[in-house]
Amino acid sequence: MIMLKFSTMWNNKGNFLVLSGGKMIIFFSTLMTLILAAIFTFQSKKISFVNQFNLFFLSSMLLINSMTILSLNKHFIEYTHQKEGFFAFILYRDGVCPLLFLIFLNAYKQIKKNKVKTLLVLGMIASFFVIEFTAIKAKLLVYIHWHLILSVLLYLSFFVILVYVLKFLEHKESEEEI
Amino acid sequence: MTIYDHSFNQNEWFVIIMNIVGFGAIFFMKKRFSFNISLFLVLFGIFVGFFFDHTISIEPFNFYNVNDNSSFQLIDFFSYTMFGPSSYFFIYFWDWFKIPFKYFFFYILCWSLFGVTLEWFAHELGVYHYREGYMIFYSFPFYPIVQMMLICLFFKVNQSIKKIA
Repeated sequence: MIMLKFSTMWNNKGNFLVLSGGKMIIFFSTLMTLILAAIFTFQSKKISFVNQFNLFFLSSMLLINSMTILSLNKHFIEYTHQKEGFFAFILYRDGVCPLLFLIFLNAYKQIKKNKVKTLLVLGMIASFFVIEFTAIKAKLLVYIHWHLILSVLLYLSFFVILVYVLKFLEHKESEEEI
Repeated sequence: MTIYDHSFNQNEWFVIIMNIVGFGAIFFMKKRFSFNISLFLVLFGIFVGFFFDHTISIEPFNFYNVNDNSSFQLIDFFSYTMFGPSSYFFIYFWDWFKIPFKYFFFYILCWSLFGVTLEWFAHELGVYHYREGYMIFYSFPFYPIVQMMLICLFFKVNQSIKKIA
């Protein structure tokens, strides 16, 4: 039974995850969120607890706004209108993506060498590329007048914004400590 | 796209006044928290507004539209930022009056009723346009849940700061 369910993931029409049904999409997006949450929990952190929340809220708001503008106003993208798929989309928008930002921001703070920092940013770009590609294949997102590279550039710009916000928050924190 | 009105009228004024009063009060009242904790409290309210509204007010649910039409306008953005001061003052008064635990549910009930009343006002002024049989009573359970979450998170944040200190 399990084998049968998993075999439907790799359908010969190339619709990864879609034909296996909404339950499979929910399963995978929940699994992905939990894995990322576990990585985030166990990674070493240099960012304070309160700032982790501030960055999570900010990244999530950036994602919510950008996706709403791109879909409702510009009609560049469309998200799934199926209820099961929509739950997975919410997990993707408010779980997977913000957690990825937090994981990479924490790692970014640990690293001092610029070369390694560049490699980390490249790794982040690759991660977002893979995750966005999976979301498209799972039909959580449908591109109308949009491209995967534009999405990745958008995420990169959010990461840069978050790095500067973090610098500002840490500056404020150290100012109050003095 | 559903259009409710074209002009700059009471719903826009409600959002602007609520923002000015809310953020003005944060700015002028005595500071009880550090900048980062204050930001956390404000962002929590704004995030919750964004999260719930951009989840149940869009397809496939689409239970309501915000302000003049069903697309996302600049004034819609500010109608979510007005949630920021309410979450800030929820904790501010909690901390200021040192509310005893036996009054915990009473405090949450008062704030939930205050939230629903404000939502009713906003609905009457055309900020929210309910659809698909959605009613204001359905919003009520969200308020205590979110407030309890905020109190838990606030305690956790405070604990982490005490640990560092």
